[in-house]
Amino acid sequence: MTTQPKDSDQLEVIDKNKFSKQDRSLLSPLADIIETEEKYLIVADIPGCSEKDVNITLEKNVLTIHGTNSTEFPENKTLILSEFSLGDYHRSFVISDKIDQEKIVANVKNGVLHLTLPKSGPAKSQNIKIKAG
Amino acid sequence: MIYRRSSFPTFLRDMRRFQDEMNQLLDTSWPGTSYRTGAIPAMNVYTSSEDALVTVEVPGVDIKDLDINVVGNNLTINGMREQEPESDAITYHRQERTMGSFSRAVELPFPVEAEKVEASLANGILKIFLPRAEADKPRQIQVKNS
Repeated sequence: MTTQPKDSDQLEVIDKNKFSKQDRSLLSPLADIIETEEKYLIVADIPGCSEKDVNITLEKNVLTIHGTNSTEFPENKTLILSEFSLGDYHRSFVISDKIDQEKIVANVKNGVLHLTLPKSGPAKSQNIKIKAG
Repeated sequence: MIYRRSSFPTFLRDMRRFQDEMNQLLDTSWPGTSYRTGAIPAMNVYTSSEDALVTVEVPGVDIKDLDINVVGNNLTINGMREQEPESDAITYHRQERTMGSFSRAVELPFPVEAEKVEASLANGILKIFLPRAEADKPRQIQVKNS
């Protein structure tokens, strides 16, 4: 009987360590990549993040998404079913030269990141119509 | 008994996390493979002796498309994630996110006070707070000196 509370105390300590700030897992968000005539769209699931938690960087042709997830482990509770981890989101995409890097637009809504990458000039100019004179 | 009951899910949970971590490792080696293997949407269940907290990952799901039901100790969540409008002009180069309707049911360790269940949705995370039914709470019985 006396060993039982000790064991459960120990389990709780392990839980807290797993969810402490410095030991959070880094998650790769699921993403869709969609192409339309004028643009590419990257749609990524980053539940727990609002627009201010997301940092997007573009270095040469590598677009990196980093989302800081500040969701905390609830206090005084035991996790009895765990299907997702609490952690930051990180993923990189290599983008082609066809994209107008100046005009990339991002927005976050309901934990989903939408990145719009417009195609650059030359791709569009192929569609110039010639009128009969 | 209480210890034994909670120790088993702990083991499962650790296994699960190990599985997640391994899958994530593979994910970084072969980009594009999904690390999610379980049911959709993923949920975490936290409990104390007084109440339970269920968190569900529902990014992109509108509040009006969520339907939450509680009967006794069973919680059911139904919902729908709307698909991007399909057209011929759209090409998917990668499609990892799941769309359409979903349904999840979970059995809680105790019956809940259905009237007092509260749910909130923020940044694609649904939080459901479920207080334990008064009738089900353990009672401390004072022993009187006679």
